[in-house]
Amino acid sequence: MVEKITIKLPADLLELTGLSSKNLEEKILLIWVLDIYTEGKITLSKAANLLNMKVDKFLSEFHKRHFKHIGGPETVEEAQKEYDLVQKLTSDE
Amino acid sequence: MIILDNSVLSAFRRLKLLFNLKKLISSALISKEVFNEYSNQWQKKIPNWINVKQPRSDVILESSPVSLSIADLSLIRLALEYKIPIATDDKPLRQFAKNLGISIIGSLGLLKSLYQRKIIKTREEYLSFLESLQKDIYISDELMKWAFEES
Repeated sequence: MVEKITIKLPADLLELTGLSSKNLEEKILLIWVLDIYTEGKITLSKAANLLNMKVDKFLSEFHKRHFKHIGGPETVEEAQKEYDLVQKLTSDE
Repeated sequence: MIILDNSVLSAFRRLKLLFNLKKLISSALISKEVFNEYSNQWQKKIPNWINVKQPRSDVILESSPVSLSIADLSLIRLALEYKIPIATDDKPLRQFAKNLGISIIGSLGLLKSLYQRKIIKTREEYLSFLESLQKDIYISDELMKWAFEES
């Protein structure tokens, strides 16, 4: 669902960057989604969907900004448990 | 066999480690929905040991968080159907899957396994992959230390 909201921004910056209101809207959405994704609040797939982008295109936008994504195991215990599961799975195969 | 989500699939492709991952896990699944989320150029590079499957329609999820996409939910349905783990680094998907009793694996555990099995041969090479993986996920100093410990 898309809801229109009003935000205040310096108009002279709009002129400086040469962005139209439409382009600015897209740019703000991109930055916002990248930020939410970086914080680990949405998945990669969800982030790409919100921007109507393919996942590989979204990742190139993400990588070029050198952000750090919060993801994967957060503790050594969690990482070890996952590692042990890989050992179990691969020894079963 | 495991299920790969976009985060792990993309990371291992970027690291050019999909071929090596096959030596470790032999086969993997992704859903049609995940496959469709990549560009045509990318889709052509998905190796044939990664099978594209449609989850069964009778595996129904009663509710799902807004942080997940339809493709994420298709992986959950595949995991429930095949009773196998999901490899993902995405926090919301990891949490939701765990709440449903689905096992989770991350890129770090897979990468360490490749090193411990000597599929990644040298420490230097392994360190370079770990550093590169940090472009996709944050790895704390504690986890970096763990990555080099013998397990």
